[in-house]
Amino acid sequence: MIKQIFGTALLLVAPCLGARPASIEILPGDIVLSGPASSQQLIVQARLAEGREQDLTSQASFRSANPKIIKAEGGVLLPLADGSTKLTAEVEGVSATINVTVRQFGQPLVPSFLNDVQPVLTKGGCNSGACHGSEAGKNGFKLSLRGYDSEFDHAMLTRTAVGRRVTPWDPSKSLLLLKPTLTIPHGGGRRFAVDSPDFRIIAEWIANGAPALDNSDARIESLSVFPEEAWLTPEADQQVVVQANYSDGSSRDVTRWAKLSSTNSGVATVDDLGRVKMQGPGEAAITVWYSSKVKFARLGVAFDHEIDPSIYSNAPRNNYIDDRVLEKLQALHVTPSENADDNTFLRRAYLDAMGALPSPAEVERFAVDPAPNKRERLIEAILGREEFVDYWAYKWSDLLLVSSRDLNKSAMWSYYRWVRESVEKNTPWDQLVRQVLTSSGNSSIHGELNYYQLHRNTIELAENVTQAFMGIRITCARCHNHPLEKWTQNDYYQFANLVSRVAQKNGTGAGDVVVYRSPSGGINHPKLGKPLPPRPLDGAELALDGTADRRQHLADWLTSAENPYFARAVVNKIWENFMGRGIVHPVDDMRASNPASNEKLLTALTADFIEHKFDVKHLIRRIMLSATYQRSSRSNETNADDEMYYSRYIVRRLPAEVALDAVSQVTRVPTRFSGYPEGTRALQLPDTQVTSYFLTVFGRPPRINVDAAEREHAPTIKQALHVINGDTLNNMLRDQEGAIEMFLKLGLSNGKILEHLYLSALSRYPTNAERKTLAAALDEAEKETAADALERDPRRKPLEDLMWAMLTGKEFLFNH
Amino acid sequence: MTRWLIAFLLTATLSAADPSFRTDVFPIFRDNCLACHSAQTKMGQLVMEDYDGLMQGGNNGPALVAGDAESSLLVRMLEGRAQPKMPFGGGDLAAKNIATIRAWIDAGAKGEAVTSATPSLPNIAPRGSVSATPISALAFSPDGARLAVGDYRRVRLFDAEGELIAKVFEDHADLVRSLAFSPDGKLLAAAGGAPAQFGEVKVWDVESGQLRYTIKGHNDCIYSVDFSPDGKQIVSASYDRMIELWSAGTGEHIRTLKDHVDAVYAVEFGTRPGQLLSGGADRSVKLWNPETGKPSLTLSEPMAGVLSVAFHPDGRHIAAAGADKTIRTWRITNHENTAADLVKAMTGHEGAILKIAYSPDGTTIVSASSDRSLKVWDAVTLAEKAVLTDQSDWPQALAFHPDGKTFVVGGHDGSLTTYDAVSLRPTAGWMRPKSARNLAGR
Repeated sequence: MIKQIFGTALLLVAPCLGARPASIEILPGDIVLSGPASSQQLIVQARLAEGREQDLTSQASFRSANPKIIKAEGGVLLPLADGSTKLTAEVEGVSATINVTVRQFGQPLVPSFLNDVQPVLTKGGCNSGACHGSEAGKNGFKLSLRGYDSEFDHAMLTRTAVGRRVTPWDPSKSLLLLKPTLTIPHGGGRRFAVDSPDFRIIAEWIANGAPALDNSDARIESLSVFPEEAWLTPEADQQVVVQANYSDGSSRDVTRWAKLSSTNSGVATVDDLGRVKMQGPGEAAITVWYSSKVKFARLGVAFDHEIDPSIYSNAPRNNYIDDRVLEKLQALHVTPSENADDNTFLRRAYLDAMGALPSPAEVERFAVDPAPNKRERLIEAILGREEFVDYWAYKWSDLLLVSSRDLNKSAMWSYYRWVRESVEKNTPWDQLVRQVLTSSGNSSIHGELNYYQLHRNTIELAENVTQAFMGIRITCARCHNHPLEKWTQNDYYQFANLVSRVAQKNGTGAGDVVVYRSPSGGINHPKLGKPLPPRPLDGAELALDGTADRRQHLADWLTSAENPYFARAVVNKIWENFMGRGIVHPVDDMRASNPASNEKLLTALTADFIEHKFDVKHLIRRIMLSATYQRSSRSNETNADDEMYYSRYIVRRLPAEVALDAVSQVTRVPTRFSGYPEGTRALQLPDTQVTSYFLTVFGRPPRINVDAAEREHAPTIKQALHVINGDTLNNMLRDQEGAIEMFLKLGLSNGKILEHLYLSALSRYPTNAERKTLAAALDEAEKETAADALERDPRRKPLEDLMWAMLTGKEFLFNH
Repeated sequence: MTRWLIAFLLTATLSAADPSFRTDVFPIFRDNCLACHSAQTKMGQLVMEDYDGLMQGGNNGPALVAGDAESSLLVRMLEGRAQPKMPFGGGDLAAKNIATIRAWIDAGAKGEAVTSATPSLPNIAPRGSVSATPISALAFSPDGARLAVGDYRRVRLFDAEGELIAKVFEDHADLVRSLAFSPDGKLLAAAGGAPAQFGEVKVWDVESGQLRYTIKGHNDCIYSVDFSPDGKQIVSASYDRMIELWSAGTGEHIRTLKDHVDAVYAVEFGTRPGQLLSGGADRSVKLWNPETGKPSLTLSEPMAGVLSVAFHPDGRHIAAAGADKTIRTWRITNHENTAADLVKAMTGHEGAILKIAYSPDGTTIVSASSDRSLKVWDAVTLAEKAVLTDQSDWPQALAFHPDGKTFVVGGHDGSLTTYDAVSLRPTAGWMRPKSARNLAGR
């Protein structure tokens, strides 16, 4: 009995979690309600210990200072009369107050087509791609996809087929009400109920004469979302409120018409009304789309680990990267892995920054170097290496699509040479891209002009610029406003017009072109049938008939420090090169609805990069110096699941070219590439058209499209089969001038050979156990081989087998 | 103990009352099945709109066996035991709904009439100044003495004084979307109907103002109506993709002309016997043999829906225009109306062309477009002869006066204007000035 009472009492207390909140806040703050149908979802957000927050709206009591002006019902604020007053919310004796103003309450409700009707049709899915928003419409009724073309939609609803769908002189006869309420059959089912708020908006709009768009209609300018960022308690419920901000300075609650989705449904789910349920530990972004505007709220729940705060305060911090990463890990309750040992760091640094393994001598030297700043010195040395230039020239050639697929050989070479020289000179990134975009002249002299030769079509060129240099895909907006992003079709064609006055003609040599500025030309907006004034995305417009160089304008805008996408995109790419995953992932998907896993980190890196004048080497140095980069890949009890917050180094397979070069390096057998001098390493190839089964199988990108997914990272069966049975590795092992031949000629002992192999392939000494087992195995095998009369040298085959085993092993093929 | 008893009683009560067709079963069908199994759409020839239709079954035989839910085709399809699974292409029907349907069938599948009244929403009054309805149809009497003006649920008849004559013809179901006088001028066919529900033609005696009869047909509203040159037949074309022929004397159905695969917006008899022309949203123009009901020729040049067609008075040329903003003319090259050559195509507007008409002498074509302009074209060369922009709204209706000197345009905003057919200037035209004012004022 006592137990029961006790249980009941607990149940009653549970919703408040027993704790009195430190403070509460009413979101979204002071409110103005305009018009008779206005309302505002309220959130009473409590601040708990450790920076946690909790939505206590359902437990709060609301008090209006003037109950004649407003009332709050079930967390929703409703107007009653014009005037100003205060609203107070109280939970557990803690209270908060906001100012509320009600305007135009007595005025008739006249919904606007743009700001009221279209959101209802969009939220109802009427204009979705599967229904009337499809290219062909449905049953003769077509709307623009997600309502991007309100003029078209208004005509379709009110005029087309002689006023078939809307009947303002007898509103209840309107198909636009009869069908979605299922009063008469509707293939799309019931979209809203009679007398729902949605019904009321459509009905009132019709009854008021179905007015068209009006130039005086307020235009939406931005979205706000509340709470914008919060760490919540496990399994918490959290209301999210979306507010639209208009050109006339007004704001209103549009939560119920916004499209909401969670980027990580394992962490949080969200329903149509903005109610979030936290499902598990981690972070999720709740992305919000409304009227072609995008915003997100970031909600998280810490992992269920008790972690001593001193772990974070004592963790090594080499620069701001570590501060930002540790801050995130602390909020998530994740412990970072320990520092990687010197050998691991050495191998990793070589592979990540220059795509090559350290030589045995380099490993040995680094191991005994007593200098406390030896890692720093190593990084400096790497940045000065020839292989560093090869590696980054290769990387940027991927991005710029250097290939003889669409360029002839000499054009490809001039393009590559320009890229390589730029890396060698460490040309700042903004200048490099500016050169690509603004050069003129002959492409055999100015290799960067081959960029234009590759993208002869204005549309392709425009899409490539945004994708390659900003990580933004605008292709959708070619035909209609981007359904999930803010880019409109006008944005698209204004942007494309920036590159519509570049002309080219054949040069004097084979395969070269002359690129020059054309005085005229423009790309037509397909619906308007005329070119729009050129304008960078979110940038300043040029006069259509102006004589300013459009490419110059594009480059000025693109490479400016204020451009929110440009530096950020390349910083994210460089970060991914070292950390195995972009802070925004995938790296070339920088759209607003794909948030960064650590925004402060990416912002800080970008600011640093810009401050250091787009110096790529500086950024690389900064990343490599961080304790974050130097962490072990081994997980601890708390971070095994972490793949995105950089609590440990992420293990990954070597890229195709690096793997092939590494095999060559260890076997001391160069790969022969047809048409290239012997000794050319895979990373020195200017072209991806060079035949190599190994490179293809390991995911070398074809350099056809700017798409990070062109390079395959995933380990596959084909790769395994090729290294195990294929001829690339096996021929190298059998080579008569390779490493094994050298060992035998030098007459090295098995122990010495073993040590050399470990140092060259794995950048470490064998452990005692490995020495013992493998030396014994080699002796054993030699005896067996010796019995075979056909074997030339009894030592050779066992060594081939040993080397085969090492080079097909994970420790070799993976960077860790 | 008491609780158990109540629970038992509740269950007993529930099972005692068998589900009713009208209140329990039909709403399930209405919400889940009628998009495909209405009398209009009639997929698999099964109509679930009422009890009789359901019991009649469809192509696959009887939908249900009274008293035996388990073996009823309807239940087997709902449960996925028979193909295709229903609702077709949709999610499963909720288990409790299937249970209701099973219980109803097992109890004998008794039926009552479900309300057949036109479904409606709560009445919503227009706010404030919303009163003008579109002028949705216009027609001159053959002698040119009268103009019929169709708008929402009525037709008004004006004389040359601009005075309203006879009675206002009322009680149409919705907008009157097409008007046609019989060749002798005695009858007026006014067509319309409720969108997505039914088509309607009311045939009026012009002199007496009496309603001769009402044709109710089609599964959607009618966009175009015409009399045959001998006055014996009426043709109607509907959004439901069908063209129907009716007896002008009695209103009886003669035959269905079925070949368009999308809404049919325009239909017109030719001046010679045995000629019928139609155009529709399927981007085609068709010539038909009204005797057989078969199409004799399909012309597929239009790039978007055809909204208007016209026969040249010579009976050898036709014109069509529509959403591709283009007027096209063809010459019919044989007497069987099975061959025609494209003569001209002219992209003449910046918006869909809503209506075209040949002048009675066949020398010009007038076009009215959603770009809010009117244009006059040379009928042979399609050279632009005159243009008038800035219509106050979409010109939805157009009719040439039989004398060819003027034509009348009706706007979506209710405006009604007479234009000089050469200069395109608004004019009193066939009416005396005073009359023009009268007309505009209404």
